[in-house]
Amino acid sequence: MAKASTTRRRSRTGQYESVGRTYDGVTILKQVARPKHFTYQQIKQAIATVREQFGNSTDRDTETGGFAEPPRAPFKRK
Amino acid sequence: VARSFARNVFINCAFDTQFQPIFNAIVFAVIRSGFRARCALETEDGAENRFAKIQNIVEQCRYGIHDLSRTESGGDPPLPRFNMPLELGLFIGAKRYGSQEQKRKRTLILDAEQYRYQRFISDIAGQDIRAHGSDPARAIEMVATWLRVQSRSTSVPGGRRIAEEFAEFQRQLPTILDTRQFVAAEISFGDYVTIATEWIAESLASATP
Repeated sequence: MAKASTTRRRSRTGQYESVGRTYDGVTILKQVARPKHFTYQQIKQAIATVREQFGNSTDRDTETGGFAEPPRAPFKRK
Repeated sequence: VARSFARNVFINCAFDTQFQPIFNAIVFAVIRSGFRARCALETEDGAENRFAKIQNIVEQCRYGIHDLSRTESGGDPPLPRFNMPLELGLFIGAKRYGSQEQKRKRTLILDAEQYRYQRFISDIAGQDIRAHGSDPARAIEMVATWLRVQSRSTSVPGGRRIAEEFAEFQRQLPTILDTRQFVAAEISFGDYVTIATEWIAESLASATP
């Protein structure tokens, strides 16, 4: 699994603050609108918790570039 | 004018529950493409006149995505919802009469059906108008392609890839909100864009920070 890139960086001109860079080279910018019901820390924690629960299902298949299969619930006999 | 003009995208569309899937898809595509999603919902708190705030946001955005698909008549007597065409006119007017920077504005007009606009706002013929058929994946493809071409930014990913990622985000979003005892209908625009931004930055992160 790719290591999360969470370092906040300002652009050289100070115009933008980036929150990270994706695997395909896109710089993700901090948005202007602010959260109303949560703190940034709460949002990051919630995302981390759910990523563990979903088994890093955003991992990419190295051959096809598509999403790797998410883990499935064990098969239960009736 | 904000110094970040070249990366701001004004999203002008309806905010009702029926339109929510398309709106969420457009916002996700804008963020994933490396831009900042701006819209009138930023103005929901505060005492300043709402239209004055919208004018400020329009002034700060080089790009405008205007979805007219919810411009329909309703109520008793049936009257059309005209906020979206009004804000489209404001955006086009800023480009026409504004400063040199404002003249660099670019406009994408979306509707549910091709040529439906001719029945209620035919004077916009000749603008860049496309139909998404109320399909969030098609809306994402149109937005990503348009942003890539207009910004000449070849780093903007393909729309189908973004649509796949959006589907995965939508799958995880209820669980993310549930960790804070919330459901999607309760969150604000600011909550949604922040969650989407952090999710993209974390889940699709580069291996080398």
